[in-house]
Amino acid sequence: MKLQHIIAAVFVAGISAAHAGLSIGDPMTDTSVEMKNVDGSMVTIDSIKGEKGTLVIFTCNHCPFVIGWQDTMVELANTYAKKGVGVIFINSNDAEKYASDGMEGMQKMAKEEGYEFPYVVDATSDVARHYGAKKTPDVFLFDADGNLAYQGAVGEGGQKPKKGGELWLKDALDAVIAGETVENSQTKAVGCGIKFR
Amino acid sequence: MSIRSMFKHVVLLMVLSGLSACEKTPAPKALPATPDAIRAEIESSEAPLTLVHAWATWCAPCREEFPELLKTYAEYRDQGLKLILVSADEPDDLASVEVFLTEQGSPIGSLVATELSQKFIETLSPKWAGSLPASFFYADGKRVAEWEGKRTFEEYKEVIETHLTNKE
Repeated sequence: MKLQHIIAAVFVAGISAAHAGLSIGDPMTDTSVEMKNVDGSMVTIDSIKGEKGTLVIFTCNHCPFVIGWQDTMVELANTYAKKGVGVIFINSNDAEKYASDGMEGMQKMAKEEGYEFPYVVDATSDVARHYGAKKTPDVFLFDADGNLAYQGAVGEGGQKPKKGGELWLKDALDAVIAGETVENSQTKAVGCGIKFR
Repeated sequence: MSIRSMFKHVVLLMVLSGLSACEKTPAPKALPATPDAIRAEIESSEAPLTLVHAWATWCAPCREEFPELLKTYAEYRDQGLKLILVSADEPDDLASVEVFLTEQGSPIGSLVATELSQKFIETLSPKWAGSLPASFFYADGKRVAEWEGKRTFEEYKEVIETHLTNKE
């Protein structure tokens, strides 16, 4: 291998390491990866893209933060799905090590909580890696052009929403469907670390 | 000495040794702490290396990692490692934290964050995405290493020896 090839490879690897995960403005990725839905069908992010935007939430079945925010997340997802936002919930946890994150639990959760959108398995956890998702829940909202417009928490609070607290995801959804820039485009919250495969 | 008398002595000895053990190793306590109080605790550390570990009793990887963490602390506390535990459990359920720490044989208690806000996250590190468990190393008032996710004793050892060696 020529020296310039080695330098180029090191340079590219450096860039790749520095940009692990998506930043605001980056295009959606892994859109053609087939993931198994709770109804048994195979779903891609491409297939659920919305006309006004696309909401991708990395979540799971048992994390206290997911449980605490579940009603809010599902209500927002179901509501904005009707307004032209494509929605998908993705479970990237290793179900072999953590059985409660298996398909049976996912099906139960989707049914009991009234998911009107796909809840799929990221079988290699690579989708989470490529998005830069690290915990559950972790929200990625893309605009109509498929560029990342909002990333982070559902809203203000800890294990559950703070009374009277801000719902950052709702604000972001409203901005995205109006074709506007999201003012508060990145937020943070504590969550359960994704159990990567 | 009659059998009954011997039995009384044995029981008394067991009780006294139990009390003695309690005196030597008081049960680890859970203490609610605001982000400012957590920051103050970190900043007041005079240890050559301070490890702040964010965890929770309900977090499976945190529970799995805990013995490795305590092994690390036992190995390096006399060489200058201070461990500050910060739990993300509900602050109104301190008992769960204390029971877990006691079961694990933890020699130290844990702070319990009163709020899991962005301020709390930024207090530990602006780079932290908020996932549990997470570890942050501080030396001379600066954050010198950090990671998210569980680690082994060997992985802790590597970073600790690097930073403790640098202090020598």
